[in-house]
Amino acid sequence: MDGDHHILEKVKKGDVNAFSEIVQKHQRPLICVLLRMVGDLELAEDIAQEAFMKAFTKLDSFQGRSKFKSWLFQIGINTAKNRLRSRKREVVDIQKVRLSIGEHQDLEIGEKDVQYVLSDEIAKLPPKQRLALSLRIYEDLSFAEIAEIMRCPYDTAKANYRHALMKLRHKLGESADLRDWTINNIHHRTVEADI
Amino acid sequence: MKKLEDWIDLIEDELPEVEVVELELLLRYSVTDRRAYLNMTRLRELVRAVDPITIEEKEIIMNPEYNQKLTGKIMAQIKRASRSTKVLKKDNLLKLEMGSVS
Repeated sequence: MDGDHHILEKVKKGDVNAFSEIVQKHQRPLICVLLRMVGDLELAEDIAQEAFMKAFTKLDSFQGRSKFKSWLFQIGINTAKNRLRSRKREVVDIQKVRLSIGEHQDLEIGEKDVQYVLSDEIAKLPPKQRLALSLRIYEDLSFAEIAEIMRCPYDTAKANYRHALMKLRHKLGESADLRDWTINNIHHRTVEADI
Repeated sequence: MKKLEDWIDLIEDELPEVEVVELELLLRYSVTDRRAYLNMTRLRELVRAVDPITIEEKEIIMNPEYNQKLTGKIMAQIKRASRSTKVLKKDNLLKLEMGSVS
């Protein structure tokens, strides 16, 4: 059991104010996860707010079998997915513009900027692989936590992460030696493309 | 030559000790394997460095004032919802009581 259970028991008994400890503890990592998904801080805040609200109202259904953090992240990620789905219809034109930035596929990988290529390829990963990669690399979560959040077996969470990395490795060129690649070697292609 | 999955598992500390020893031996003697391992390590570093969250956004998120405000906003919404739920519960109880009387 993690430290949250003690606080959650208080909340379940009617101490609403105790929930602020939970919010304070988890809002920052939750916003980071959501921001990486939706790419807009205001929207991420809004979704985080909704996720906390849902968690609070459904608290009785939280059995404590998983970590509260995993459960909360699960709610947040599902809320974000729903928002993105409904937003997709509204932002079709913007997506077209963004897609046009990625028309450099005929270039040799070595000629392209590492940051640009990687960001682009990460964005193209299947959602489950991207999520596993993000939770592991940016949030430093264990595969057990990732599996809880993604509601899948431990091995599936790990497989999603591995596939993501191997796909990126493949896209960067199997033969290229990444040891010489540096993030400082950035040409800000995205900015050029925006202009 | 080992598979890429093995190197990923080694980097992620997901292998049993016996396999770790075996892979470490390979790293010492096989240039191809060493290169595959180092490439995978580097790829992980590169991915970490291209975090989609910008420095400006990180500064905002790390700001204690911002966090305090956000907590306040979330809690205000929760308290509002909690109050209206209590009122609803009271109403329902009242209706139930009245129903049982009549």
